[in-house]
Order: sequence, then C-alpha cells, then structure tokens
Amino acid sequence: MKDLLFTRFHQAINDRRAIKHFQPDFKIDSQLLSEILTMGFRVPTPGGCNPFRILKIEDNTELRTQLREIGFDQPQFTNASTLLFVSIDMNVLASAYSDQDVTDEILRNNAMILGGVFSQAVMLAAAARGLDSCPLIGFKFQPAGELLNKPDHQVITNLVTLGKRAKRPLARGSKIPLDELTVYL
Amino acid sequence: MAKHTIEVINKLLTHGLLAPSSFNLQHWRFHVVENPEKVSHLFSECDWKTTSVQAPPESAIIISGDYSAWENAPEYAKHLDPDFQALSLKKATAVYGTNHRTQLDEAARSCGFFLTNIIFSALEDNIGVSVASPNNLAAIISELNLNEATVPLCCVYLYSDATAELSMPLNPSHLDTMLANDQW
Ligand SMILES: Cc1cc2nc3c(=O)[nH]c(=O)nc-3n(C[C@H](O)[C@H](O)[C@H](O)COP(=O)(O)O)c2cc1C
Repeated sequence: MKDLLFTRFHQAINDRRAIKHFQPDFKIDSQLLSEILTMGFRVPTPGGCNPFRILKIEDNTELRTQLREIGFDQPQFTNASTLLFVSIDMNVLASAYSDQDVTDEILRNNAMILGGVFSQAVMLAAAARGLDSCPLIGFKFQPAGELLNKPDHQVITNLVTLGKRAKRPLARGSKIPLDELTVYL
Repeated sequence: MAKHTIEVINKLLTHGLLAPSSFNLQHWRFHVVENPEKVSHLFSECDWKTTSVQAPPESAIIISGDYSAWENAPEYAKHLDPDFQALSLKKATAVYGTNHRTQLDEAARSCGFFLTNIIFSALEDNIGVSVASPNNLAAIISELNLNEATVPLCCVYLYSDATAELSMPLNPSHLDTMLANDQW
C-alpha cells in the first residue's frame, strides 16, 4: 500500500543535489525532521531487522567544531541544520542471516549498502519537503567514532547533513550514459 | 512476455543514475534480466539470498560495483568546484588508493544510494520491488562474466504488483533504539 510519504519522489530524485554551503541560521522544524527520519527507518532491511543506529547532532556547536576539524574543514559540519551519522549494528544485521552462511565480506558490503539506502531515503524525504542535503565521507572515521562514543559492534557508513542551501550547486555533470553501464541479458 | 518492458526498466535505472556518489564516481554497473527463463536460470545458478521473496520475479536488475572507479576521478568531477576538480585524483587516491576495503565500501554505498532511487521510483509507478543479496560471489562473477574490478552487490526483483514491503508500520519503540543524540 502506498501512502502520502511515497508521493512526489520522481520530483525529489530530480531536485536533490549535494550541497556544500548551507544557510547557517536555518533550523529544520523538529516535527518535520521526525517525518523525514521516519522515511529512512521504513526502508526495507533484511528480514525487517532495522539495523540502523543513527546519531543526530543539532545544537552541540562544540562537537560540530571538533568534527569539522577531523572533517577536512568542510563547511557542512557547522552550517547544516542537522548532522546524522549513519551506522549499522553489525550484530543485528548478522542476526538477519543467522540461518545462512554469509561471508564477512558480503555482510560488510550489505552494511554499506543499507547505510546508503537509509541516507538516500532521508535525503529524498528532505528534498520532497523543499530541504537540501549532502552525504559525506570526507572525515576521519576512527577519531569520529571515538568522539561520538561509537560501540565496537557498530560501523559508521557515512554522514548525512540536512539544511537549506545558501548557494546553488553547479549544473549536474559528468554522468555516465546508461547504455555504457548496462548489459541486457 | 515479461511485464516490465525495457522502457519501464530503463526509466527506473535513469532515476537511479541521479543518485549521489562519493566523488561522483558512479560505481554502479547493471545486468538487466527481462526474460523469465533467464531470470530463473540465473537464480538457480547464482544462489541469491533473500529473506522476503515468495514468488519468482518477472524481471530483475543485478547491480554490481566497479571498485576501481576512483582511478578516473577527474573525469567525474566536471560539475564540482574547479579547485576540487584539480585535486580530485589526489584526494581520491588518498581515500581509496591503498585500501581495497575502502574501495569496496564505496562501491557498496553507491549501490545503496542508487537502490533507494529505484525503490522509490518503482513505488511511485506501482511496480513491486524486492532486494536480494548475493551469496556465492564467484558463481555470479562467472555467470555474468564480470571483469576483474567488478563485484556483484545486489539484485532487484521486479513484480507487476506493488508489494506492501515498504509501508511496514514502524514500531515507535524501535525509534528509541535507532536514534541517539550527540553521543551513542
Ligand atoms: C557516500 C558519499 C560521500 C560523499 N562525501 C562528500 C563529502 O565528504 N563532501 C562533499 O562535499 N560531498 C560529498 N559527496 C557528494 C558528491 O560529491 C556528490 O553526490 C556527487 O558529486 C554528485 O553530485 P550530486 O549529488 O549533486 O548529483 C558524497 C556523496 C556520497 C554519496
């Protein structure tokens, strides 16, 4: 069954761009943020195991400054309204395959895939509501994990930042054409 | 006759291509399986793992990742700030150049961002989707004749009826487990 959450996504897919410069004074309404996060938490996961462990940072400016230092001084760390560190609980994910043999390599790939699935769902939900976003891996993962008190059984996949754009991104470019990527069997 | 024509599948894929990827590397590579006989052959040969599929799919898209994509970083950076463009290969080499696992991680993440675009696009068009995970990588690599730097990541099953899978109500008590503030 479809509900309202699942409308307007073709438009959102087109509108979403990776934003470097956010308006530093813009704050996302907390009710709206809950709706956006719910979209992320409703993506399909193996066996419905929901292995997501998300860390939200908004008002803690000291922490944001520390993160920017280990984030190659990228402006999103301090200027986006919301930072979401996306992580996967590897024990929970592994339990979804408990009756099957899954190699560590495939389990790790699946964790990364799920982090991407969650992140893009959140960013599309944001775009459908006129908000902007940027996914990031440009930070030092080990120090970030320590700073955020990450338990060992969780793996950070990436960061998602949300807010309102201050500057238009350059036109989409350098896309590989579909026919160069696809084999029809 | 497969229910999903190449046009329908290409529309899904085209929406997928608008997904973000780190350094815009677009690691995703596709095999579209439209013929139901080939679909069942591939699945019996390659042993895909899924926890939710009941009926065999009508068509399928296998998504693999090119983990050597970072080597061509400057080619994908044309829409980025000129200062970033100039440094893109140096930066990409620093992130991916020495560690195979970081290469695989990035290919898999890209596949995830891509997958959401496909899933949501399918939902809006009332196409049923379900995602399966590879089990035997070697069998798939050999069956699809994948080149050396390409790893199978997932398979999207397509059905003509939209399943209810995505609209599972969220248990509010899960939210507390899944969401933390400032510190884990
Ligand atoms: C996993 C991931 C990590 C990324 N890391 C960064 C980052 O650290 N900093 C940044 O400015 N952009 C980052 N990006 C954004 C990409 O550069 C951007 O998605 C790509 O260039 C395509 O542009 P578009 O998203 O506007 O279509 C990242 C994207 C992804 C998917």
